[in-house]
Amino acid sequence: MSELLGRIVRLQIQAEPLKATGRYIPEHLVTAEKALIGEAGILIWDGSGWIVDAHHRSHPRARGGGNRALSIGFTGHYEAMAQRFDSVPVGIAGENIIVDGPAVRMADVGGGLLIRRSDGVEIGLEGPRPAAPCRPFTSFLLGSDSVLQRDTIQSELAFLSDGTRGFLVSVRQADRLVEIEVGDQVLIR
Amino acid sequence: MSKSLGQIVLLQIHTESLKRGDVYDPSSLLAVERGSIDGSGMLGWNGTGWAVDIHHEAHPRAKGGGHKALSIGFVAHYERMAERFGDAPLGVAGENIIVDGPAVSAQDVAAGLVVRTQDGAVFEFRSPMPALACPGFTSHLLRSATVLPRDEITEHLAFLSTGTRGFILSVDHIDRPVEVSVGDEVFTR
Repeated sequence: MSELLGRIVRLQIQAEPLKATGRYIPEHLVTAEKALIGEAGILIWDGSGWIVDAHHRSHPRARGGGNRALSIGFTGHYEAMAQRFDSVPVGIAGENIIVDGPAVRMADVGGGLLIRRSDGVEIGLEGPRPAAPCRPFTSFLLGSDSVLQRDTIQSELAFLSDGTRGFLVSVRQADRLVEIEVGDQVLIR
Repeated sequence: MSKSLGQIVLLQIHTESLKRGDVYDPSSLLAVERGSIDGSGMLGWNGTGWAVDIHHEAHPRAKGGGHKALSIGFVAHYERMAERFGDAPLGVAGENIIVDGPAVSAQDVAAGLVVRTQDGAVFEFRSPMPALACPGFTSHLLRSATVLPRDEITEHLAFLSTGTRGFILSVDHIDRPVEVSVGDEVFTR
């Protein structure tokens, strides 16, 4: 029996890598009401064309080698981050899908996630694994202009791990793209 | 490189199909600042992100099965089309790359084409093949609201199909993305 976690409240892509300069600069996040997801990653329609996420296999500077097609985060995590770091706008960590749901842990979602569209179609998100927090993002949350040394931010890195920084997931759809949209449900498998 | 053909004056992608049924409708052409090309086709930077050409394998309605990943046309071909048909706006045939250059034949470019970018990078496009004109495009040039029967436009089809309608290029050998911009120079190989 699947357990409902919540509904998608934000879909976004990284039009270019957010850490291209070494620092975390979230200026290339692009949101949309709908997206297409598949094994190779996520695309959104920005009003003039289908644009690919920086982790999509076809992006000119593809990151992750197609092994992290998609990422997902939860508003519960953002509330936890806001308590610790003050201002943390929803989506600032760059996850492709943000769910209005609780701060789940790896143990909660280890069996996988499901997106259920309004027409009942279900899409499996497989192999969730916590996104490892990096020094640039953590330094950004701390309001630092420079990237802080790991040994000075160990406690923050530990706080952001195990899912608070989001989860990476794979999409297995036999070589086809499926559409998802804001309002679709996300469930634990 | 043997002979300069001219500089790139227009880069564009098809964000969606240019055919509504059989009727040619160029409204989905999108001019871009720069393109990224590899064996899968072309992406264009639209100011927000990397938008996918419909012939690229990542496009949700990918056309051509990767066998016509890229196309190129020449300004002089447009001048010829304008002479014959009255009006032929630059790029209306939908080639991805338009070069401010002469009307070349298949024989002129049989050995392939070479691009030299403004920062000195050099790469080649192989096996140029004249794009075959279709009744839909030809009827569009003739300003017909309907698609004319092939046997009524035989001479026009022949006129367009020897390279005037552009060339299809092979990019299968480009295994890492290369970037092109307006102003880059194109040579015969």
